[in-house]
Amino acid sequence: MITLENVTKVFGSTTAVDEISFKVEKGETFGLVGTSGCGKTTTLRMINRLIEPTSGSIAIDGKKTTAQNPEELRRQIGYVIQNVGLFPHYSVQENIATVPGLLNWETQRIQSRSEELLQLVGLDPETYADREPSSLSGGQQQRVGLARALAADPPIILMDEPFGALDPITKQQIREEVGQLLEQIHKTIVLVTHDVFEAFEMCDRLCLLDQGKIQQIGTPKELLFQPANDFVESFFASNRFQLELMSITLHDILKSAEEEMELYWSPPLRDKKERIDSRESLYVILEEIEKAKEQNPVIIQRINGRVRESLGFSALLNRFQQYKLQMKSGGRHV
Amino acid sequence: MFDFWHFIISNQSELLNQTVQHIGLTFISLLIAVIIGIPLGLLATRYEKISSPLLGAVGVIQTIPSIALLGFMLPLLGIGVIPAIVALFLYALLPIVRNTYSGISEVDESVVEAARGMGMTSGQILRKVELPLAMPVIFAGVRTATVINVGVATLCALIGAGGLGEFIFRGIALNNAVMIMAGALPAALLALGFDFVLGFFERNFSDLVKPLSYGLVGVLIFVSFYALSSVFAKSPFKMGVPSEFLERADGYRGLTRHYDLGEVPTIEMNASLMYNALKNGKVDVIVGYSTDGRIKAYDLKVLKDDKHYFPPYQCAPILKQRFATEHPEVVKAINKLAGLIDTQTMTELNSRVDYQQKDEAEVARDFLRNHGFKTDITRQGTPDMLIGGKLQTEQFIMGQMYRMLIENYTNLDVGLKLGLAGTQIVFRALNNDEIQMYPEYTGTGLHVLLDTDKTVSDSLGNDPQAVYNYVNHHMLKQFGIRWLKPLGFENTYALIMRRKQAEKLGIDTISDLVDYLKHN
Repeated sequence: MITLENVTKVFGSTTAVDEISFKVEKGETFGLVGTSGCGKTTTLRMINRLIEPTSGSIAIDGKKTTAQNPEELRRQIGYVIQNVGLFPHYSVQENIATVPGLLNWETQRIQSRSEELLQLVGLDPETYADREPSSLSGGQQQRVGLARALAADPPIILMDEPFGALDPITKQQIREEVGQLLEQIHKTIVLVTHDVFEAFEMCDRLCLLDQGKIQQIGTPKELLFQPANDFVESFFASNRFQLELMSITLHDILKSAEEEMELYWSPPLRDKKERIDSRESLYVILEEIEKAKEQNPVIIQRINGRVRESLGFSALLNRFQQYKLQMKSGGRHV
Repeated sequence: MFDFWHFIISNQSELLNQTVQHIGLTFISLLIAVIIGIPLGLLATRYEKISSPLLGAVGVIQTIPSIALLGFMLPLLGIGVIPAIVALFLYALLPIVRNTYSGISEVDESVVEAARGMGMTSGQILRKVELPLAMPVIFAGVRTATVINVGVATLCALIGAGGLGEFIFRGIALNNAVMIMAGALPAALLALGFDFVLGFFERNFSDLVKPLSYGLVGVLIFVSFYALSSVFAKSPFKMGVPSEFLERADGYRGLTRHYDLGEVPTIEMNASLMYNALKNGKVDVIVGYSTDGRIKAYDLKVLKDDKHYFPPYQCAPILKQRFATEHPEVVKAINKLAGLIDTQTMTELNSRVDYQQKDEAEVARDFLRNHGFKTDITRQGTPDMLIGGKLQTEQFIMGQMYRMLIENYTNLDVGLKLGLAGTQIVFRALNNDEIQMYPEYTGTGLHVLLDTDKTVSDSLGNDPQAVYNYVNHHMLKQFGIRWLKPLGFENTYALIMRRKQAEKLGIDTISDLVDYLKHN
């Protein structure tokens, strides 16, 4: 989908981005992570030509970005930034309508699309469409910013620290919502963040940069468990435990547990093994584990042997409980 | 208050005319400043390198006193509407350029970044994002510029550009508070009105963009028409007249009646600028002073007063009788000059100052030395007496001569209050003992200070001695003010033309001019 080949950017005497190459696959969420000044934002901004590379080439669907007019290119790429940058003199609806307006959509189409998007980001169009951005909370502003980026239904969305300006609670909440939303709409996403938790939670693959050079590209799990060098290992060291908890899915636990604990599985669990890939069935399995835990604590300890601490496992169980409550009250998936 | 209304009503057509001129001057200069200033401000935001020199330059212009700026432009642009508009435009530039620059620079960077990221072209960013967001700041700049311009435009009356300043300066020259008010009050109201209208536009900007732009074009046409018509009006003959002359008893009205002059288009202007205006062909005849040095320097011709309209204007110092009695030594010192300066000498001295740009104290000292007077004592202490003077060049020179004589031949320390703008102001200062002495002209005493009846002044005829005796006698009686011995020169009001043009048209006397005007 997006291909960078030997891309270099030099500002004056500093090389911000040094010979970077990677490929972002269609539909994946690709994270650019690293400390500040590592070149991740520069890399992102080169994709929609807000910054022109000094050398190297960038292509989208095999077509070089330089072959296109930069403005037209940008209209096909959603762009979300940390400070949102909503137009203060436009209403929420007018903000969302910006790119469709630039693309000369019909008024009617723009109107219905804006309403649809407000619904999608969880803001009631009747209440919010005519509000001024300044009357919205930070979280609401970022939702509108996201809706604005999605307005013309671009296949690619670039996000530069999209949740960086939010308080931790709002941040967590929006991140989860956005994560689900992005999964639904199936976009190719490039996300810049310095927050490793955010990267682990949202991204399918990560690219860790340091001083403009790629240190490692891979899934969060690969970076965590098969670090390519000392830098990669040390980058995650301080948050290692929590990141491990996050990167190990129930699937992993169950899979490893399955082999070791074949004996202990109760019959209903085994019947459902074929549906193990679907999320829902995981929760059914979890439920079974919970039952098993009541009957035989030993199983849990052995499962925990993989996770090292029972704490992580109880966290998973907690989420499962929440999920059950939500299901009962007709809520959405976790 | 009654006086004020009475004045307004009896001068309403002139007031209306001045107000329209004032609006025209303010508006067209403002419009040009907006058209040039906003792009300049934008340029400064795009090219950071030029921003500080540019803002610095417009800032420096703003610090030049307005009178000085008008003065600087005289040699370049002469007098009239064009230099006035240029000066006003320069003053309006700073607030507009600076506010455009800061308005655009202060637009939230992330908003511009978002706009770029969404694929707006730089033109679209400017139109849809930066300008709308900077608009309140830019508007504030335009409003500031407007208020400044309404104020500065009053000064444009000094260079013959018209406007409400005409009443103000005439009022100052004649010490007429009602007249000053008649100019100042409408000017203040204009400033408030403009500010209000712009405020209204600002609040309703988005709804008004379309009608506003049409309106703007309309106003532009109107204003340009106004400006062009007054600059290029093909009136065959224009007369430059100093403010004071328009209202004096021996002034413009009497002159037109005496010579049956009819309606000549007149431009009111500062007395010192008229000669330049005449030389540069901005006007064709001026009412000037017969001793002015520029008459010779610019090759001008004084028309003969063949019907003897103007009385004799012998120059002599006047002072309070009381002061003369207390300080006989001053009278003695001053009278040393009596009869020493004839008209030709005075014109020569004036020309050294006006034309050769010599310092008036220098010229005065040279003259006194050549006549064998002591000039080496100069006192710097607290003045024991003050000598006044009007705006004419010779009054500056005379003031210096008197100071040197009194300081060298008495024990008094002399201060100067020269360049007071108008007969009434200087005379009132003398009458109130704010100054002790100044040189006055007998004709002015007769018509302005004494307000002499026409039959009486006619009976005195053109006899300088008779007029001198009359004013000396009556002013002593009426004000306790005494005339010392005349200096020897006369400085009469005179109609002055370019010599070449006068000769070409065969005009030698005022009657010739009247004849010429009647047949053309």
